[in-house]
Formats: sequence, C-alpha cells, structure tokens
Amino acid sequence: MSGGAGFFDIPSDLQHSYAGLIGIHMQEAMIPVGIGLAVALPLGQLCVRFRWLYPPVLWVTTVLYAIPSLTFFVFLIDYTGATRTTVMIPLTVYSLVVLVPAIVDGVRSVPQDTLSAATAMGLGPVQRYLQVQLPLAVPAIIAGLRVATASSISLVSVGALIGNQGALGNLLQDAILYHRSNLALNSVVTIAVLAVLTDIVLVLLRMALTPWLPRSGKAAGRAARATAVEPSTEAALLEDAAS
Amino acid sequence: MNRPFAEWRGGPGSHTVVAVCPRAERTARSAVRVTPGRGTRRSTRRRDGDAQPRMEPGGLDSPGTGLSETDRRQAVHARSRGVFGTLIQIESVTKRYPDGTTAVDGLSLEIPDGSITVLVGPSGCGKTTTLRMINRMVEQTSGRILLDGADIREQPVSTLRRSMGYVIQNAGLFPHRTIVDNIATVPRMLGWDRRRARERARELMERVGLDGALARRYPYQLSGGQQQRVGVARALAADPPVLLMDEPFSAVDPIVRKSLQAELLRIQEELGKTIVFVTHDIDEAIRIGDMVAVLRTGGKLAQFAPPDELLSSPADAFVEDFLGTDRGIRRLSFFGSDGLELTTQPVLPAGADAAQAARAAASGAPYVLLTDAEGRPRGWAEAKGGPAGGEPELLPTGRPFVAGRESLRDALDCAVLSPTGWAVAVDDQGKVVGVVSQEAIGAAIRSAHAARQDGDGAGGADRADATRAGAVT
Repeated sequence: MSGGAGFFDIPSDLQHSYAGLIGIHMQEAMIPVGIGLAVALPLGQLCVRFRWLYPPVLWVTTVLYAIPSLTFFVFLIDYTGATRTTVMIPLTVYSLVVLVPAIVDGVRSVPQDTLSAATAMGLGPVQRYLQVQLPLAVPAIIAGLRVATASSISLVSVGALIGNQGALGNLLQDAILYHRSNLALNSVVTIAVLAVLTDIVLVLLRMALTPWLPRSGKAAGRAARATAVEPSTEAALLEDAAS
Repeated sequence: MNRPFAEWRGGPGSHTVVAVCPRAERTARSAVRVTPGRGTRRSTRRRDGDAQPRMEPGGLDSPGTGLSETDRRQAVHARSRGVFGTLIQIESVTKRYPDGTTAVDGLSLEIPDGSITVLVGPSGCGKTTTLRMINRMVEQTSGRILLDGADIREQPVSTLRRSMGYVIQNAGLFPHRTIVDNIATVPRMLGWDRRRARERARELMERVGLDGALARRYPYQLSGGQQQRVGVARALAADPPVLLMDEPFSAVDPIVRKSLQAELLRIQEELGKTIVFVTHDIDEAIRIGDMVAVLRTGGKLAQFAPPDELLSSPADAFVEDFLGTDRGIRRLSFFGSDGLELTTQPVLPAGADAAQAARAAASGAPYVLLTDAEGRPRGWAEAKGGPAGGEPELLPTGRPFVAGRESLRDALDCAVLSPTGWAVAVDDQGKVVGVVSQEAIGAAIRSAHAARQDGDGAGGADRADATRAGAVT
C-alpha cells in the first residue's frame, strides 16, 4: 500500500470497511452510555431520596473518572481479555460522573409545588417518579447524555492500545504503521462528525420529548401575548392586563 | 345523606375506585351542563343516585324550586351554623416535629359540610400543617381526624387523597402536561379512558372560566391567574366531596385575586363542596368564609366563628388585633341595604315642570338629584337655584349603590364619597330609586345592630347576601 490509496481505503488488517468501523465505533461508544444511564437512573433516584448518599457517590464516581483508561485495561485484561468489553467497562464508569449529577440535579429541580400537588392527588412514590419527576428531569438528563456521549465517542479510540479494539481509533495506529497521514485525518474528522451528529440527534430528541419547555425567550413571549388576547371573559382580560 | 361518602371511602383496593368512577362522572356531567336551565338538570342529577349528598334542597335546588337567591344564601349560611352537620372533625390534634417545634397544638375543629371553612392566622400558626393533616400529607403526633365519622387513617392514603381536591399557591401544575391533561390527572388515575377524562377536563375548563382554546397549551403559556383556574379545575376533576385549598390566591395580584375569589364563590354555589381554605389574609377569610378559624402562632385556635360574629365580637385581643382597626366598617358588609329608608323627594326627573322643581327644592334637602330620560342619575344641583334658569351647575353623583342587593357598607361608602353627603340608590338597571343621607344610613346601622343583638338567628343570613352579592358582581 502506498500513499496513493484513497481517503476511505481502510487497511485490510482492520478487517472492516469504513462504514463497518463507524458501526463498531458507535456501538463501543453508545453501549457504555446506555448502561451508564441504566445504572445512573436508579442511583440518582437513591441519591435524591437519601440525601446523605449523594456526596459519597459523587466522590466515588469522580475518583473512578480520575483513573486513566490504560490502568483500567491493565487491570481488566486478565478478566475480559483484549476485547471490546474491556474498552466499554471504563467508558461506562466514566459516563457515571456526568450522568449521576445530571439526574440528581434534574430530579431535584422539580418544583416543590408540583411534587406536593402530585402527592396530594394520590400518586405514590413510584408513580410520582415515573409520571412527574422523570419527565421533568428529561432536559437535565439529556444535557448529561450529550456530554457523556461526546466524551465516550472520542474515548473509544483508546481501545487501539489493546489490539485493534479502538474502532476508528485504530486508523491512528495504522496511519503510523503505513505512513498514511490521511488515515489519521480520516479518524479525527470522522470521530468529530460522529460526535456532532449524535449531539444533534440528542438535541432533537430533547425537543421531541419536551414540547412543554418554552422554546426561547422570544417564542415564549409571543405565546404569552397570544394567550393574553384570547380569553373571552372580562375577568381573564383584566388579570392579563394586570399581570 | 352520608352514605355516598362511605362509598367514596369504601374498602381498600382498586375495585373501590372502579365503583366510584361511574358515579363521579355522572355527577360531573350533570353538574357541568347546568348553566342556564339549572333546575331541571339538578333534578336529573339527584335521580342519578343522590350523587351530591351535601346539597341540601334549599341550597342547590333552589333555582328549580323557585327559591330566591337570598333564600339560597340563607341556606348556605344556615349550613355554616351547624344545621347540616360536620364532615371533617379534628379532635385535639397536635403536630410536634422531632426538633421540638409545635406546629399545631391541641386543635379541635368541626368543619361543616358543604360550606367554606377558612383557616386564617399569621405565618407559623400551623394552618397549612392542619390542612395537610386532613389529607395525611402530614401525620399528626396525637389526636385524630374524622372524615364523615371515620378516622382518616382507616382507608388507604391514596384513596383518601383522591377523595379530596387539593389546590395550592402557584397552582403546582405539571409543566410537562397540557392543560387538559393536567386537569384529567385524577380521572385517569381512577381508570377513566383518555377520551372521557379529556371530555370531563374540557367541561371543567368551562366551569372555571377558561377558554377552551387553552386546552392544548402548556402551563408556561398561561398567566398566573389562568394557571390558578386550572389548579381549581384539576382539583374538581374527579368530583371529590372535599376541596383543600392552601393559600391558592395569594401569589396573584389583587385584581386577579378578586376575580378568582368571586369565581370560587360562584362555583361553590353550584357545587356545594366542603372547602377548607387556608389564607393569611383576613379580608379574604371574611370575604369567602362561611366559618372562619383564627389560629395564633404556636398552632392554637383563637376563635372559630362565622365572619360576621368574628367582626362583631372577637374572642380576645389577638383576634381583634388580627382583624385590624376598621372591623366595625367591614362588618357593615354583612348588613343588607334593603332596610334603608330611601326618599324620592329631592329627585327631579328629566323634563320636570316648575311645580315639581319647587316641591323638590322645598323638601328640605340642600341639593336635588337630576336624572336623565332613562331615570339614571345625572348630578346634584343646589336646591336654591332651581333648574328654571337654564342648566344649573351639576355636582357629580359618584358611584351609586344597588338598593337591597349591596350592603350598608356600600351605601355608607357612596354617601361618604358623595360631595353632597347623600348616597344615590339605583335598581339593577341603574335607574334611581331614591336617595339617602349619611344621617339616615347612620340610623339604619344603629337599628341593624340592635336587631342583630335581639335575634341573631334571623339577621345572620344577611351577611351572606351582602358579601356574596358584592363578591359576584
């Protein structure tokens, strides 16, 4: 192979096409975030319910985040081998440091009035969580997911260190190996594009899930004005004039 | 009459809930469709299995049975005097927190059925705690609370709470649900299907004076007053017999508050719920309460009485101080103006001839009131000058009061504001029915006081008339 190979020609040692690498990369990046979310949701709820639990949980996740992934690999490789699992375990742990605080803050930000109203209407703790707290925490949770996802997508590349488990990150090694700098460029640009696209998807998801959020200051103002004119009763007009 | 409530309470388990819904919905429908031709609808509702036991005939069915507004209000008032029994009984309840603070101290209250009981007091008097003990959001340390004769701890807490609507300051709406879905929350929990629950929610929006176009909006798109109306609609959604309201109107501005209070009284007249209303505003308490419980700091009951009695004979210095300095004047709103002796002598209709003018001038009043062709007041003219020599200079009449419907307080207010010291009385169409001097109003006040002292029972109903009428208009 010479420098003449095209931008998207992937060296055969990786045993995957360009699209295949993207697939693996996303898989390695998103499964940890998914598992992280599945762990962080109950953990976050526990931290909300038992306030004393939050500081130690936060402490532990932060300390784990401080451990370099290489250290994790060295430790895990005895158990899980040079596999994708070994890459995904530290990524899962890292996602917690973002997701747990996001969920805790999101659930805590639900107004006390709203919670009291829910309680007074006879919603039990589980119903209250599923029907009120969780939906209202969606913006905060998705904000956390955006950070976790972006960092996960970039961190997958580290998997290249344990034998071609870094998906698009493996291109970096091959760039050195085959003296093809465009492979490195390909890796960096593709990872960046993936991160941006995923972020856009998450933003769209949030917009779909939260039609109840004021869209922007301007739009909210417009909506409020529209409402102010509409009510037909004199009393309603009065109250809008006053407010 | 208590039987249907027992159904509400029922046994534990979901089948109780199922048993309740058809009734609740039926009541709801017939209750909502009443607007113009109320009478017939009411009877329909009663056939439906006396769904609303707390509506005694004199109260709810009055439009159908030909009773006047006044009679109905008398009935409401009679209810508050214990004639219609107690629904919620608070028996020497104490709430002490682990840190040693006592929020409520040995409180005993009998909350009458089908009327508005207001808990009022300064902050820290335990009024909200008391309210929250009724639906067990706070558990009392000692004592007990009976609902329709049974301890509230006997039934599952969720069943208890669903039988009580709850309205709080700032409404506490679910921001992530549309208005219609907010209102439909409890019916949905009771197992109604989505369509039926939304239909019910739309009916309630109409009832609380909300435009149907707002149904698909989210709470952030509504003004504070509108949100509060949604809060009331949501509390009424499953047609609970009890409504708990925790300072529901204190976060909105005074104009909106006034219209919301009026709306509440109107809704209450139609539905006759048992409402427990917490406020720190004594004026609000007097305006809307059938009974008012004044609590003092530390959670002790200072006085429990109808507002009229509270104003006339406060139990102690604390209550007197809490009522403020002008309770004498305020109490006048509980006296109707129908006893006022109006005179038409100084009233000069449009196109009156000289003889009439002379008679009006000779009546002894320093001013004569000129009216226009429709009989509406135009202004006061000096009696000496007479209208003969062209158009005299007119003094403004200010706001007239509606004779009979508005209270002595309104009449006095008009007289005080009038440049001539005479108040103008009009009928519902705004036609002058007579004028009355400050002195005559003073005499009426004295005799009303005397009459009230003689026979408290008979005069008691006036308060409801006067305030309610004033409130609704």
